[in-house]
Amino acid sequence: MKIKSLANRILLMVTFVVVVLTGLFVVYFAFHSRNSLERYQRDSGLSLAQSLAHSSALGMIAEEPSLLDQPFAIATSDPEILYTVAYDSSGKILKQFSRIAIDLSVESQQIEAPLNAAGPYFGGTIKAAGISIDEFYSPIQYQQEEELSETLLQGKGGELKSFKTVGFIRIGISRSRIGAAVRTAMLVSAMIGVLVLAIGVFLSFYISRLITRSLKELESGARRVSQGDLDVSLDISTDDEVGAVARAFNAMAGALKETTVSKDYVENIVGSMNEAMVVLDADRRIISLNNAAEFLLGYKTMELSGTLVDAVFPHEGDHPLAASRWSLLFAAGSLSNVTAELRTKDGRLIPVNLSAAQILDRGGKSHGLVCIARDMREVNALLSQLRAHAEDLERYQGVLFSMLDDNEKARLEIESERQKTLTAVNSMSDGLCMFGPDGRVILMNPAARGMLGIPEDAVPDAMDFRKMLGDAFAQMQSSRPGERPKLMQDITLGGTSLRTIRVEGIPLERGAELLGFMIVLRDITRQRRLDEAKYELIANVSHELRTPLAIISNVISNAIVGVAGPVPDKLMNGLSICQANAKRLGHIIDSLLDIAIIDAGRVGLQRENTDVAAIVQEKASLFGDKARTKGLAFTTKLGEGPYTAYCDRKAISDVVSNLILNAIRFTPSGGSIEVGIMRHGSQLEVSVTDTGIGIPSEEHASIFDHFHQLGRTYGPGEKGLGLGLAISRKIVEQHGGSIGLRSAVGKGSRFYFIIPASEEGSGNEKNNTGEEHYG
Amino acid sequence: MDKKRVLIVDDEADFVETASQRLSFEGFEIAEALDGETALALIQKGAIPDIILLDIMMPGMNGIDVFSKLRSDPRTADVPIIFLTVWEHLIPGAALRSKTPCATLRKPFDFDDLIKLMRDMLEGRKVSEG
Repeated sequence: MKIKSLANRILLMVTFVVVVLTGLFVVYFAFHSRNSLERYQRDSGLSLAQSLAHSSALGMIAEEPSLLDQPFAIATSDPEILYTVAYDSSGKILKQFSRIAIDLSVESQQIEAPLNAAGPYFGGTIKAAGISIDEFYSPIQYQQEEELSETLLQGKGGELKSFKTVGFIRIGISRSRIGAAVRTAMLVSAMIGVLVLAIGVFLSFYISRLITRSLKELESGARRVSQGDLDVSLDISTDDEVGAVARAFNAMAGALKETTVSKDYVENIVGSMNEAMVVLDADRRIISLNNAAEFLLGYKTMELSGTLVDAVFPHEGDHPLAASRWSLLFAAGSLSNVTAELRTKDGRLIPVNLSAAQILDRGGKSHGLVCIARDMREVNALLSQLRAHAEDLERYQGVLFSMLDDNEKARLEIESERQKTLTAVNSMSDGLCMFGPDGRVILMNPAARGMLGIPEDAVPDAMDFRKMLGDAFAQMQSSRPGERPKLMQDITLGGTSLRTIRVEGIPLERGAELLGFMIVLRDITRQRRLDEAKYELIANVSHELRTPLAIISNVISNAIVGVAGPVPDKLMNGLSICQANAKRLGHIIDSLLDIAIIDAGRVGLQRENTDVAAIVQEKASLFGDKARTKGLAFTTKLGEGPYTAYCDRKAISDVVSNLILNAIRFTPSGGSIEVGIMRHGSQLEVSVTDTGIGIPSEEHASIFDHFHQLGRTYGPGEKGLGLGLAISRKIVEQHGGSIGLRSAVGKGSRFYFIIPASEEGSGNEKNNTGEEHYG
Repeated sequence: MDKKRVLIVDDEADFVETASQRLSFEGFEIAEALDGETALALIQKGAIPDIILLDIMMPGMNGIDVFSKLRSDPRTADVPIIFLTVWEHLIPGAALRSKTPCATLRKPFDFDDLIKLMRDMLEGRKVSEG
């Protein structure tokens, strides 16, 4: 298997080296320990043998084994000493000690060496009873008696002839101690070796990763660059050699990118240029043309490549492109905005504006010239047109000046009109605020500022107005174009004293365009107080009038039914007249009270979703008989529904009753009455049409004002309309509707009122329980 | 048929007189009171009417207070009451909407209307408002 990865190769190499080193170390350590132990064994064996020989000398001379007991006891205390033997000079065993079964007797030839030895020596290794044993011999020597101790102290000394060998000591020491120690040493060193091996492998693995990671990044970066991805940037920030390589790599990628980008860029520019570009070499020969040049000239680059520039720029003499001036141009290196002519393939000459620049290499040496020619035909044409226009302008200038004078006059007139209007607006006693479509204040007169308590220099915004004026403003602001109702609402403002302000919103429109809206503020505090005083008065008066009237009515009624006995016919007629007029008086008092209540705004409407068609039918059936009794044709006409409106059922019923009763009253016998209801979009229209006496047109505007018609006579025998229409108008307006009539004297009248229909599905629940007041 | 007993409560003596003349002519048995206290005292004595005609604006105890007292007394809680007044706006809507029989007639009124209303209420017919 071939090992590809550098990391693995490093790993393998390091592992191999570590293994070899560890092996060598183990072997060395084992040998070294063995040698040390061997030396120790020898030294201790030799010294033991020697000391035994010394201490055994006397016993040997005396041939008394018991004298050897003490030296032997010392020697045999060590269990590794397997046997200890003392021989005399003839080889006979004087004393022996043995831990193992072994024949310790010696042959005569065996005693030569120890007896002749100068001191202790290693006798070799034997094997007995399965144990390796090192044997040590030491001759037992002594000197003359007086010198004995000195001699013994001096130890061996070959030059001392006075020594006499009397025997020798033989000891056997087990080699098992060395074997065990060597095994231990080998085991320990093997363990150390394994440990070192493991650490070594780990370290080499880590180091190789460290190195190869950066290398891998470098490699993947290089691969991306080779695939054309020039946005490569290596994220290696180390300061080492790898870091340096990475930085060099990044720089190389950056440079490559710049080169490539700028090359594309230049190609794009040249390709998409509108100007014709002709590239020349140092010898005035054409090298290439761009698209625009090919198009303009009708040549292909191939056709012109290598030809002299004169083929397309036919200039001579002093022109900078002429052959005679070439060296000058080439040396100067540039040319700008020179008028020249291009000759096309079919021989036409095109006026151009020419610029030129040198092509320089890195060393600054010029290789040729790039000529840019701009087609001037269009520009020239435009210039000539402009000249023509300029002449025209000059001619019209006089006329224009005189027109400007007129304009100025008109402007001044408008300005003075504006000033007049402004003065009028500012001196109005009614408050006036104009708003743009966005609710921004355009104009606010001093009266409005005064009423709303806005200081001279303050500019309130839409929010302020919404706070001050409430719903009227909010509705004006939020209503959509085309369906802007004229809004009216009374608000009460604080200040030094409570003021009641009537707020009227009026949309400002020009055609379908919404220019904004206007709010007119009228202080109606005084009027409101008058209304209230009038109400108090009328309420009191009518109350005071009604009680006696009730008593009078009772008496008349009692008389008529005969409570006080039979009544003569003549008196009965008078009583009937009295009763009718008492009733009429009652109605007048009722109406007075009603209208006073309405004016003072004291009666609430109980509004709910109501079927207005049902009201119309109910009233038609109620009064139909009465009409027919009078000899009138009475019909009801219901158009397409639905006819639900959010209204006060009783109040609307009263209006319908009032209109029908008026029609009956003012239509002579033989005429006809038609009651109808129709729906126009979001509005309901209820109408009562008669063929009655009609109403003169000058009365149309005021017929709905209260008290106006009281007592007037419109026809023979019929008294005025009473207050019914005034009350009806109040009710209808309170519903957000309007009331009107069309009438011609002698032809009849058509009274109608219009109120908003309920929106299908919604039904204005939010107002269902609320009370609203007559305005 | 037993005569139905009517209690007329009004501070105007002339009104009470003319009304009682007419109602006794129409066959009712009449009891009169010129103020609320007297009316309640009559009832306290055990004279329980079948129907009550009640004025509102009276000195002392007004008609609304009398109405409340009558409604809280179990003996008169279900007795029909007709307010005869010049000022019907004073009558609380709650009184008119209550389940107990109650109606309003504005003075001056037509006796035919009053008598029809009284008969209807005495016979326990539902009375349409106004």
